[in-house]
Amino acid sequence: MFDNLTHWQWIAIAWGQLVVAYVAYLLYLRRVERRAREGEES
Amino acid sequence: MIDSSRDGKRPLWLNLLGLASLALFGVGAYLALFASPPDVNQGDLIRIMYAHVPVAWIGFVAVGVSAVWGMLYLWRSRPIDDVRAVANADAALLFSLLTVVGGMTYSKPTLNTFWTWDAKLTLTALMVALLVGYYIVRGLIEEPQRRARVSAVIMIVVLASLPFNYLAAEWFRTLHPAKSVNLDGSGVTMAPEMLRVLLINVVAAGLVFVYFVSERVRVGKLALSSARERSGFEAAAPATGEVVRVR
Repeated sequence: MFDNLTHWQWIAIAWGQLVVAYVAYLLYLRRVERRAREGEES
Repeated sequence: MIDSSRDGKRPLWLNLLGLASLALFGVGAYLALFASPPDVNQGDLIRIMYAHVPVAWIGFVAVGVSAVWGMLYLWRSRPIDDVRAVANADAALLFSLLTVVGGMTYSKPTLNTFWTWDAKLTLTALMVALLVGYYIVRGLIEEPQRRARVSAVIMIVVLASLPFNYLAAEWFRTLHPAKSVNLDGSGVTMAPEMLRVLLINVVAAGLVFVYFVSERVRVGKLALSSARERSGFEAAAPATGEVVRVR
């Protein structure tokens, strides 16, 4: 599966990981914040 | 600095910091992908190095900062110190995971293997395992003060492992390349135009780190404030552990 990737495909995977992590962490923080606010209201 | 712990609103400076981190990340990516010359040995694959190395360095920094806040908690038992320790631990885990996955992505096309259990890679895997353990332990201990104390000690252990990780590529035979930038002042074995791109990406990763931690501390303060309103002197914390004893 990974043996036939071109150099630029590997580069795209490496940089894509950073973009995914950036977005995913901010989404995770949204969830933590929402839970904290729900706790505040209960 | 605006205290957003009461209403939890995101202050203007934090929005600007987020935009700045995103902008610099974009600039760093552009320089790495299109402006940097290809390497004489690795060709275009050197562009992965600009993603991998800054993330690894900032992961080390995050562990150090988290350990310092953990030490401060052990010293003065202030809940906000635990909130800050956890915020940095989040970043440490995130950047360390990216270091491992990014390193595998770099290793496969250049060295024809994703992983090998040599000293450098094993110590990095151990660091990630300890950071995962940090959160498992926090999830298992209900008493907030004890949870904060135990997790602070774990992060200090992680910090103690970092010098061995940093020097492992010199002390042992490893697939991991030797350092091109030596912090002991012995020199830089990297072309200046590549070094510039690398340093810009290090600053970008550092700014993202500061933004993530600031945002996490804001959310942690919100949870702390929420717990204060729910209870008197003892406040239970969610599994993520951002809430501890209220004075």
